[in-house]
Amino acid sequence: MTNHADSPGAAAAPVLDIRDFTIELVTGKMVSPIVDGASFQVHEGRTLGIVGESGCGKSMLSLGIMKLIPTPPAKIAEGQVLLDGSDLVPLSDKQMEQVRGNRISMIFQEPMTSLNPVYTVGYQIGEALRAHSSLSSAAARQKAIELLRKVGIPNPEKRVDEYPHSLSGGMRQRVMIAIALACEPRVLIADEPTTALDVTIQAQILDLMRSLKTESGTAIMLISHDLGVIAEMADDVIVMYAGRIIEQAPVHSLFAAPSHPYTQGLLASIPAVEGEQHRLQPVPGTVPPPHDRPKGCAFHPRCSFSDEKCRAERPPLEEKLAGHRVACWHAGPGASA
Amino acid sequence: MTAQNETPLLEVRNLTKHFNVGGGGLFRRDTQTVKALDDVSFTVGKGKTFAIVGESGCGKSTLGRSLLRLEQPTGGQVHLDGTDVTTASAATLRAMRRKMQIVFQDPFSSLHPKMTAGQLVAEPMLLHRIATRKDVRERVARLFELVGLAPYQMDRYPHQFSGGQRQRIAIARALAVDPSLIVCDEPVSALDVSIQAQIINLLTDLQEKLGVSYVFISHDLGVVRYISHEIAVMYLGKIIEQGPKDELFSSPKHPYTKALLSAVPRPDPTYRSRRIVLKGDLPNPLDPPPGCSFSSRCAHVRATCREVEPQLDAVSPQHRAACHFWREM
Repeated sequence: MTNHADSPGAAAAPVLDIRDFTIELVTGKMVSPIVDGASFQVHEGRTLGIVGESGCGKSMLSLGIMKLIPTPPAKIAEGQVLLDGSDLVPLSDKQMEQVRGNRISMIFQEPMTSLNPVYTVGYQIGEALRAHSSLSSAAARQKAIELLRKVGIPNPEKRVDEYPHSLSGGMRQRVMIAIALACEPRVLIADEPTTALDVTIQAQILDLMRSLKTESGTAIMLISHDLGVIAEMADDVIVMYAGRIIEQAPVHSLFAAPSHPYTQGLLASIPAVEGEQHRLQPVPGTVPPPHDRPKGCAFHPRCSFSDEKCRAERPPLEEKLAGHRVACWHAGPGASA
Repeated sequence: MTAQNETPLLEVRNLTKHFNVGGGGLFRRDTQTVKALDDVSFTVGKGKTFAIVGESGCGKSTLGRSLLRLEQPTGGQVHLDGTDVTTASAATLRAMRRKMQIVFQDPFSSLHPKMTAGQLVAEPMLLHRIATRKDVRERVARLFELVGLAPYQMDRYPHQFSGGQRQRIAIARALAVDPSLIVCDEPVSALDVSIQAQIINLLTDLQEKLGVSYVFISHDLGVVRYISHEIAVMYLGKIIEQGPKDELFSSPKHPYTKALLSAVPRPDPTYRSRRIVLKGDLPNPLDPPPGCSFSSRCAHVRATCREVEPQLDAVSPQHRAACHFWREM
């Protein structure tokens, strides 16, 4: 544990600094924000967990940072993405190609579809290396073998010439991680990296990601719907609902004192494998679609604390405890929520 | 607690299902056999939930489908209320399907997109002549209320519902024929955690109200803990451990069950992980290791394990484990 554990941003400059980031979806005459004014930072050697359910905007946020959102219909409407202080938002596609896979890398949920079936594993790792450096193909192959060994693939000299179909799901995700780390990126964005994997294989991949982070100091943005994975991996956590950050805190503070009724609801919905077993307390209702978000606090129709103010005014994201920010009129020290 | 003297609703005896791979056709190869189910036996009591857990490829879905004879088993018997499903004639089977229903994982592909929610729920009742054209709407409305849908939604199409609501439609459709057994194949895996909790509570409430039994297939140990009375853990087509829920969670005996339990990430950052990380991947089912099928990944493996296949051994009257060394675990 480092000394800035409880106050991210107090010490070194962040690797990634997102400010008022807004992505809009334009369909016909309708404009709906799918990511709405997100601001946060990711620091070297730390993992930021982003949690939320389908449609909360967490994947759009990560694709938006990489400038991989389909435009149209979606577009970055506002905000800055500062990578080591320089903004990515105004960069051209050509300039972004120099950033992606080099200074920021991404791994996705589906290792089956993110690898090209007609090229060998070694070729695909080498491709990332050759795109961003002047390595010869022989040197790239050698580096690919090294990377495969680093991500725990047995017999890398042989595996390097194999095609993705001959690898298991867990192995493919290891290859994806090898590709993502090939150029020693400053930031790794992992979007549900273990969701498609079995739980024993997930444990292997999470172990791998943890040790790679310790070794390389890469800043990680981990997107997941699984609060268990977040609790285990993250240093800081953001909870998203309907396109907005509704709670943001160091991981221990978030799980010890979840302050937004939605975060509390998520935690009460988890069927735990140990501890006392009582009836699950699900959040009633469903997530509103982006074009039909309620006025005021977007969560109010599903919230048992909602009142006049919640229906009329949107609560700002405010610091309620040290380093712990919540967007709720009812949250805070001594509040009922 | 399953009463020993009561006849079980479902009795599965030595069920096996083999798939032949390769062979024949243009490129003649030797036929290989995958034992998707290998000598599986268990019973399910009335109003009880029997859960089957395991990872991809362990055979849990094949088991679910074989119970309803959506797959023809290679061997063994499935008795529902005393009648053997595996040898039933087409006519008997059709009548028996009234008693057993299935709910699938994906509520997006299991509902016909051109039928309204009301028609989907009405269809099985009309097929089995439980309802007449006259009173069917009334019955559908009652089922809608039972599963937490509003009767006014009857005339909507599946795409107008969310994933959780679609799963409610699938459950209403299964309940329409008043079955005594519902096989639930990963019914909450495609749902978000808050919606998942709603469906788990719904299934529990329905069981309490209607006395229906479930065979609940899942990869998620947390979900299984909240819904089942008894649990079987499968690995490569075999049940490797089986027992009452509380006993299985508090004192698992098979190293695989222990590893599975330890691998679940806990929603608690202060939790000190005593995780058992398994080596490698699931073995190729065409070429399972000799002896114990888990021996290639087991941390406690010994010479015997690679030679002799362990049988399910009684740990306690209702708890069984297939490990030579369960006493030391």
